[in-house]
Amino acid sequence: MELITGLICVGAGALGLAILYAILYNSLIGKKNQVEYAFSGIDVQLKKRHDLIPNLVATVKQYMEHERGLLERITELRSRAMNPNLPEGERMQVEAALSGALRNLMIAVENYPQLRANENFLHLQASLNEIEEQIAAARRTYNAAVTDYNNAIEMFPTNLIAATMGLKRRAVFEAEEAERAAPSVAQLFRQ
Amino acid sequence: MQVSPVEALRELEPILREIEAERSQQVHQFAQITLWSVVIGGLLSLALAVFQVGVWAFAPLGIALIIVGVAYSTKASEWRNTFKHRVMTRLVKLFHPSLNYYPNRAIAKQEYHLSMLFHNSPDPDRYRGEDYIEGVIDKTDIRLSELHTEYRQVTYDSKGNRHEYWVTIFRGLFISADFHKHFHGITLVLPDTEQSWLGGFGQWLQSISAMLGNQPGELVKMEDPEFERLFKVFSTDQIEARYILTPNMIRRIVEFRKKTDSPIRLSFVASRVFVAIPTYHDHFEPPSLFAPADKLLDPSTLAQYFEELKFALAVVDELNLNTRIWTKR
Repeated sequence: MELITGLICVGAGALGLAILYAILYNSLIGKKNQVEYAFSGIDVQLKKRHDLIPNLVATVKQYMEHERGLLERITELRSRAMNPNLPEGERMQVEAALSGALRNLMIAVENYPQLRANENFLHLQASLNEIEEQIAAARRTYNAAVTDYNNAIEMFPTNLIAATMGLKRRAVFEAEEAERAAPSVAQLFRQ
Repeated sequence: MQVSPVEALRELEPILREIEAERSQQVHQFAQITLWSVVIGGLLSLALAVFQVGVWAFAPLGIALIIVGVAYSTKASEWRNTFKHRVMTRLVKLFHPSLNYYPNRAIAKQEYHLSMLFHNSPDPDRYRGEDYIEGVIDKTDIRLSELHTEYRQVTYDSKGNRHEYWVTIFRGLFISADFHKHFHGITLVLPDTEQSWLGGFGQWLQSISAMLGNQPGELVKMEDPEFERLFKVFSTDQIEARYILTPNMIRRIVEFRKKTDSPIRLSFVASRVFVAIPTYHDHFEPPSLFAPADKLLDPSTLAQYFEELKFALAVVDELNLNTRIWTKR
């Protein structure tokens, strides 16, 4: 009789552990997928920006005689970023360079009053602001998802399961050096 | 703001003098009514006391006091109406020419429901408001009013007696303004009650609460620790929530929360922002009927109404709603 009770206890314990394992395992998978989903959110916005650039370049070209080099660089960076064979890390670097170049373009625009009166340009500028804002939001979403994920794989008890699943820490997006400096540059121009 | 309180006073002085004359006339009438009621009631009571009718001797005096009470409330509400219709209406226009003021209207019930700010509270059984202001400040259209919503709570005691009382859901300023960005989902910024004392566990409870359908969408965790201590955010779209609540906007909300010094809540629905600021101060009310005569003509009185208006409309500047650099114009 005691043996049966003992067996039932062990069985119940094992079942409880199995259920706990399943819950923790699933929560880890959920967090991992959340990170990937958040990453695709950034991708969508970056693609939107790629779509906008040809229009933008075509519109400003007629006015900005002295910024040929900058415009060519933007076009080139765009086509490099769109290359499907580019490794992920490198692609993000290209996108960061593209962000910087676009910001420089928007600063240069200040010197062309005619352009700032152009309705079509103003519309494109608003769209670009919108997309940049969305990219920033998507990155912050990604960072929040990564923080959640990193916490889970380092905190007890999920860290034990994460180790067996081979889950690794992911890096969050850091604001690029150029991005951090950008607002002060813009400020200088305004003064 | 278009004019200063001093200029407003200059502009409004003739009207203020006019209603000041009306007020002193009303006070005079009220004094007459009081005097005669008390004298007649008192004499009648005295006469009855002579005939020794017992407590009934006090009846005439009681009636006299009721008359005085009714006279007071009538005069006070007349005074309030006069003030609101003739002074506040103009004052609001002077504050900003596009604004309109309706003393007895409230923000529409549809907006209250649309905002989802109190979606976890029962439907209000009593919905009252006043001092409705609407208009367009630069590019932002704004509507606001004082609002008091309550629901009826019925309980039975052990003897089966029915007790009914009113529970306040919200009392304060309710503001609805056009937001400067387009969005499609629902984002709620509510005062944080759990995380502030339960920490990470409180946050976990919040996310479970959202999962169980108590909140629209899911919990959104923000990077700003000060903001996270004060608020909890729920949204149907994680990215959109951050598109609305940029780091800049988060700072602005924290500052606004500090300035108002009350547990404000915000929601972002249908490309509008809704803000509920609980306050127990009754805004835009006239000085007392019996206030000294120069109170109304004192510049500091008008300055105070300007402050109240500024406070109510601050949301436009505080949340930077007139910056239109995105696709929404």
